[in-house]
Amino acid sequence: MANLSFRDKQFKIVNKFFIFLAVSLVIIVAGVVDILVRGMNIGIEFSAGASIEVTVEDTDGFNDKQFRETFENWLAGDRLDGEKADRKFDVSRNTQVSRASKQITYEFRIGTTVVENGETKDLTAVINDENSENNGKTLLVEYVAKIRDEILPDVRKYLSENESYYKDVDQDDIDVSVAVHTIDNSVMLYTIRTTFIAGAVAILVILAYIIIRFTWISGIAAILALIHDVAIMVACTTFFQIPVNSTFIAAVITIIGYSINATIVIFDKIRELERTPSFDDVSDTDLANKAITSTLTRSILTTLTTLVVILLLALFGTAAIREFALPIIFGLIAGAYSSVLLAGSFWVYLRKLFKQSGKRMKRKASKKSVKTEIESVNQ
Amino acid sequence: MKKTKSIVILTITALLIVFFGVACFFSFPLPNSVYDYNSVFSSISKGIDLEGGYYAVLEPKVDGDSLDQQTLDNVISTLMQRLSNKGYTEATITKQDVTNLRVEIPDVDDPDEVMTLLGSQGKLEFRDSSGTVYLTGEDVQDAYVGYDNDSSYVVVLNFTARGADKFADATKTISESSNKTMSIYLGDQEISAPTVNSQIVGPSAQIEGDFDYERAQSLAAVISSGALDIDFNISESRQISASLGEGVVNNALIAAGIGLLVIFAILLIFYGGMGLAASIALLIYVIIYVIVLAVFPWVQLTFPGIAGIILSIGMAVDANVIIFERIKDEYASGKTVLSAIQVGFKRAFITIFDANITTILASVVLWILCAGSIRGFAITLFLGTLVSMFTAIVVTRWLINLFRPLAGEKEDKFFGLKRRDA
Repeated sequence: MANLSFRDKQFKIVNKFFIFLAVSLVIIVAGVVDILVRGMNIGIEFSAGASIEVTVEDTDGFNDKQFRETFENWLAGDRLDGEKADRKFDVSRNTQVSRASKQITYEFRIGTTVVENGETKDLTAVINDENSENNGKTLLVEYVAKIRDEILPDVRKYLSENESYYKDVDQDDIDVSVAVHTIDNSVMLYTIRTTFIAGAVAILVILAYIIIRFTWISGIAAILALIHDVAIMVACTTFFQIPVNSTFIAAVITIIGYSINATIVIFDKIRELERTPSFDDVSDTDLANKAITSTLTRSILTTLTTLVVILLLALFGTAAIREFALPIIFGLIAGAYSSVLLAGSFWVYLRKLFKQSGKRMKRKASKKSVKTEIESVNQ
Repeated sequence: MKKTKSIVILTITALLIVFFGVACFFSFPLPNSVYDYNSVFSSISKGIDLEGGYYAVLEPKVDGDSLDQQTLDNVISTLMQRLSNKGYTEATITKQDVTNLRVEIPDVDDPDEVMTLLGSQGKLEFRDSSGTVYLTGEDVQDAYVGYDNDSSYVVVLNFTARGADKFADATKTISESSNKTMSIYLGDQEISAPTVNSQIVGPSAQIEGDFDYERAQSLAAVISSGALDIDFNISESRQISASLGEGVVNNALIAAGIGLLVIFAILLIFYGGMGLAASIALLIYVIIYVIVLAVFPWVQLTFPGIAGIILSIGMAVDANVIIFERIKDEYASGKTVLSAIQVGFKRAFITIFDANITTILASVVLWILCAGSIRGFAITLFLGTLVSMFTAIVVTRWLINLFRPLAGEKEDKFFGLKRRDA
């Protein structure tokens, strides 16, 4: 049987705090720079506009780059065979390409403005015409529906003329599907608002619980670790230009749960050691080091098992799953890193900052559980 | 004796796990029957992001005051009625952001048709058989379900002062016409066609028919929401092709299955007999979890929901690792196997409780505040955490106690426990 025990080891993790912190800060700063330079790949849920999803078969030798460029230009006004369209949509956003089981899906995105016959129009305007069947809908909805109807035959035409795979296939039999997604400012703002409110409320509730069960210093340290994990996640997501959409938000929330969980296990150990008489004269640094070391097996094994499942998911999954699994993988690693290498130090240095170093928690007197604690630590 | 008892109980447990495991995950044709058995897992309702479909966010176009909740509820039942008339029986409509409605419909071929259904409420009109309009929605104050003298359900209509006059005129003309039918239209759809036998004067009238409560209720809702004449802005709409979600669930299942095997291996390698107990508990966890997801009606498996499941598997293992590390420590410091297990579970419980309760709190917050797929995530995470606490603490302990008589004298070795090197 394997034995992964650090019980008798003494790692000086807190003493090297600034090195570990520097590593994280470098990544976070690089992430911020990248956000400023290239920007994040914001998904449609967080930016008003529309997406047009075109799914075609991923045949042998399919020229995906040319297809993408052709239809980005198509939306921007340059249709097939040099024809010009009246409407030039804003296609400055990244097109998302994903592959799944012999199919390739292009998510072309357009913004909320269009240049129609030389005149710029706001697509979020609502059509107010009793006689139109589109009365009450936004221009965006109307125009995108038109795009959907017009792009389908052109995709078929393009494939039939440019892809040798289709040379013996009747144009109408080419397998193409088009789906559209439109989103107004109001819904986008709503999504952003609820996401932030929900995130903030969740963090406050967690903070309150930790302050009640532990100390307020532990609460702040845990939240610092959590912010660290999310910042690293956002940085890595930007490096790899993974789209930021509701799936990404779910991944962030997953990591918040995981990060708090991992940090609490360490603080639980600190709390326990604090109540142990033999640790009365031990410095905060040594106490935190001891707590981190004695929970290290658990930190490694738990990260390992969760990572195994999510890695397998990324490996077996479709492109969409991978998009989702990658941020979680970044977050898991960041979470393990912060709970082992940073959280304890946050606790030590926050106590220094607020002049609470060396203070020990009150022991619960005359309780049976105290006796077992003493036994277990006084080895 | 104890040994025999343990063997019997463990065998029964193993058989139950196999039985429920098959019931949860395998669909197969039933022998001697045309029916198929559908696995418990496949009966978990799936969100449109996995199944494909259409969703839209509707924003009511009202001047000034926003709609009250009663009105919104009426509108919801009208829309539901209209969608199910067109065959979209699995549509769901939820409130979002107090006044907006979120409509999710699986399996949509023609999104334009759905948008037309949702976009405009259509005008409520009372017509005769030739199509002449006598009253419109403005003339109806409200409509609700009531009883007549035989205590069967009727729909009661209350008219405005002007509406009552118009209704009196209308009933007079119609009762003297040949077929005596008054048709109530919403948009171009006939929703009711009561017979008028005489002129009705007064501020209210009732529609009788062989209504059961639900039908009467939905007719009343349709009329009263039609009376409101609300149109909607479709502020978000999305068509999701089934191919996007296709394979996601199956691939996730395969990944989870292999992942579990790897976790079993890790647990066995590091914790021996205790790891075996944890592995069996994990199987039981998976089965209970799947059944719970299938049984609770508000569970909808979404893409992020799969993440919630993975996270709770991770937490189930975490709880056991915390417990086992604790037991190892206790034994190393000189306790007997029995008391090491007892103290280990007791002490570890506090840690697990604190670590998991924060997750539960966070998921409840998301459940309440978020909509759509994030809510699906919150629900799976919440349920998963609860079930995993139960199996990791209660079931694992029960199994370890069952293992003890089997291991006999060598139980320390069996459980992978070692004294501290002197």
